[in-house]
Amino acid sequence: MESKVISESLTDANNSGMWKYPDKQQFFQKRGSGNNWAHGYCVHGPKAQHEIMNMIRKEVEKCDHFGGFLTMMSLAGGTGSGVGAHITQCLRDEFPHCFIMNQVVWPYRMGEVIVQNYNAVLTLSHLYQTTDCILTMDNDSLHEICARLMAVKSVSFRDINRVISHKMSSVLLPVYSGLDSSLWNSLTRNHIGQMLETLVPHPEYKLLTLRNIPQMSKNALLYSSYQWHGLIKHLYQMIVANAAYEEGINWQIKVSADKRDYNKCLANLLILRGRELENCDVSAFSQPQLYVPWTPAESRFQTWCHPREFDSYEKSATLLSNSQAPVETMTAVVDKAWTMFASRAYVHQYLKHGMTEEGFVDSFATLEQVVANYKNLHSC
Amino acid sequence: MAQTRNTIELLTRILVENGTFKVKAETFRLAKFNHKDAVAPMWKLLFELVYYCEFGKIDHVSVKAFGELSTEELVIYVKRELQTRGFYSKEFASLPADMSSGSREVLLALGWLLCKENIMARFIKNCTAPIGDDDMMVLHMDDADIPVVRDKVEDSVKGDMYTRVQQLLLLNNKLRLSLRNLYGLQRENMLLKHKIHKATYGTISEPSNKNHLSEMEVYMLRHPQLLKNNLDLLEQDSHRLQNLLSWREHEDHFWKWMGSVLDAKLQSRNTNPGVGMKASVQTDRHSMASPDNSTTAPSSEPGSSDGVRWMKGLDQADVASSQGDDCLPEVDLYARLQQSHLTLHEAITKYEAVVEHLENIWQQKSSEITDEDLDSVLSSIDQELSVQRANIMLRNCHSYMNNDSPEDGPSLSNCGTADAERPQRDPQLLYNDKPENEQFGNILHVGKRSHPVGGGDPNIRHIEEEIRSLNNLVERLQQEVNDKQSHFKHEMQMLSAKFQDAICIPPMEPNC
Repeated sequence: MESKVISESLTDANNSGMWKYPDKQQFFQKRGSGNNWAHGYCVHGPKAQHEIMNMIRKEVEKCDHFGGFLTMMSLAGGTGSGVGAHITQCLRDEFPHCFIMNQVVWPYRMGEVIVQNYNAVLTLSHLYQTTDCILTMDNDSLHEICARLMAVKSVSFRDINRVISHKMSSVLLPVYSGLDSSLWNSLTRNHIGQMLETLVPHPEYKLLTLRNIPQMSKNALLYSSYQWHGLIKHLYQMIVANAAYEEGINWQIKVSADKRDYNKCLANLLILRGRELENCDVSAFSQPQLYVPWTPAESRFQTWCHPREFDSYEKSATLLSNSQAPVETMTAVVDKAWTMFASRAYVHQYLKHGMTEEGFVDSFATLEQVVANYKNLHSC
Repeated sequence: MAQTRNTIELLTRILVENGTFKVKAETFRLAKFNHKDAVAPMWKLLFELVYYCEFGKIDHVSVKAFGELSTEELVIYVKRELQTRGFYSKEFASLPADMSSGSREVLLALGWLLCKENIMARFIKNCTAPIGDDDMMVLHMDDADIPVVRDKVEDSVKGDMYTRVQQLLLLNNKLRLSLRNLYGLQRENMLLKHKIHKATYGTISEPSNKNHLSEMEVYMLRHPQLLKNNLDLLEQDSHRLQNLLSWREHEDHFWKWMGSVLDAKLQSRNTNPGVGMKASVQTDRHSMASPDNSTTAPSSEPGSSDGVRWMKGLDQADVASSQGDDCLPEVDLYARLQQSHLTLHEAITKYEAVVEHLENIWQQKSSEITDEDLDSVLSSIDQELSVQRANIMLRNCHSYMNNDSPEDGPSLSNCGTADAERPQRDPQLLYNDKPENEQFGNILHVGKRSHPVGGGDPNIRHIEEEIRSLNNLVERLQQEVNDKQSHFKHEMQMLSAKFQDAICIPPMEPNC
């Protein structure tokens, strides 16, 4: 499975001359799962489990500091999502005390795979029970970002991956856990752990979204300069109005006690990278109405920062948030999948690899519970 | 005997090295003689040592506390701390709170604290060189002000049930994640330590079982400029240890001297100073010196045994003026206390044996006895109890009546009619065949006896009146007797109804 993709990544890394992957620590097979989640989860997963876990164990033993796992996978296909979900479960069994963070990408709404909604529902429901948090991104908004902000004419997956990696690295690079420069004597010691402790304190709310600003093409970057004030104002409105990127934000939506149209949050983590950090005012994010009342006031919002420029952006701000934002996409996907499941479309393809109809129903129930939980945030 | 002075000076050096303020050996000497000048420094020293016992070091906080506390607060604090540690000296506790006197008591308390809390051993413990330890905190002293993120949980759990459940779930999960974080960091720490130990394996061959370098040593090798600092620290430590070592050797001198302080206290308690002594003492004060003085202060004048006497006189005067003469009663009290303690002890030992014996018997009996035996014994005991109870109740009735009739004939006659109205309850009435006659006769007899007192014709009318009133009385008594009879009959019936096994035969039954 995916042997072409893997060998391509390996050569890319070798050609970069800056890093490379360890030899013989990659797993691939000739045959894929054919976009069938059950094939990946029930057949390929268990078959590959032993070999993959051995590799992982070896790598973990090499670590001085072992922060946790970050698995990156799609939701639509059979291999990434099916095998990925199975391996995530194995990781949880093998390393019960480590942090596991899953980064998943929603397929295009008008995707080319007819069973992508089934696959997404099955993957998410299985992940939700094992992982610590799920960071969601969706192809549609990533595509928009590439087309509008990065001014790419014909968007390829490579462009989208570049955006994703930019977003991820803006979060995962080392930072200081505090805005006050007097606290800048030690970087975050357990990055993923501290991040999750801040963002997913409640076991029923594990969905994260990531917004970053600014994002633009290399050419435009040369002619633009930003102030922290403007960046933070935009970012704040992006989270309030649930916008994925900085263009076309709805500025009408305001946070107030009597309205329910804004994006309610459990927790936010703002990561600022760049100079002149002392001038920025992030108090807007501490507004109590933005958050669910039962979250402790001290743990709702944190700001981490680093005075170094990030990826040639003079100033950049990233907001990781645990909010209602993913619910919209999730509802749509679950509804579509349920419509298909009601007429049992393609279900036999899954059943023949060992899935059961109860398994489907359980997965729907899990996700509907998640959706209901997030929707209820406004009423409590 | 210059040894004593040297020892005390050594003690002051050790104390200063461990953070106290600089106290002079002379102060100790003054304190021995309960001198006023020594009071304040001795209190301060005692306070610092108490602080040391409490917190393990004497730092700027203690200095600040000493500056901020008022004299009275300080004295009270120290007294209370010493009491909680078990120093129950009445004299110490009753020292004035304004630090006006009593330096000797403070000195004694100080000695007690030194001994009780093992302060010297604690000083020694503080001196151990950190290089061998795996504790790297020494290096992170500057990072000690890393902010501790404190989530205030107080009051956060509130609201309705749903909110509270959500809050608790959230806090619980947060705790779980923190634990996992901790676990990860711990793991990292162990891995890195292991790496260091593995890399330096075999570099040293110490007699101890360790054959690798500690993290601290590796750090020193990596940062050689720290070596010099550390060398200084170590030299300081070794100097301190040297001092503590010589203290170990010579401390007996100090304790002997402390013994003499105690003697001085006892002496001053036992002898009462002359009244006129104080004035002469004051004139001689500057030339005073003692043999102890010569040991503790080499500058003191030789051949000053007179001065000693004077000094003791002064001490006694001080004691007498500050404490009055409650010393002797106290001694007396003490002796009595000890005596009663002894008797108590004897009694306890005596009764202990008895109790033990009884317990043995009890065990023996209880092992011998069967359930049936027990039942029969119990029922017989019950029976006996009920009989006894009946007897007791009867007796109570009698004694009740007995108690209410202490008056005899003469008193009745003396009080006249007023007294006669008081109910007469002779127990005999219950059992006599003709109580009314007896009563009547008795009263008549009394009436007759009172006759000669009146005497003469004019008194006849009076006598008649008397007789009439007595007749009235008789009637009333008769009435009362009847009432009582019926009452007690009733009571007896009630009693007899209560005890099935007891047969009650009322004595007046045939008479009725």
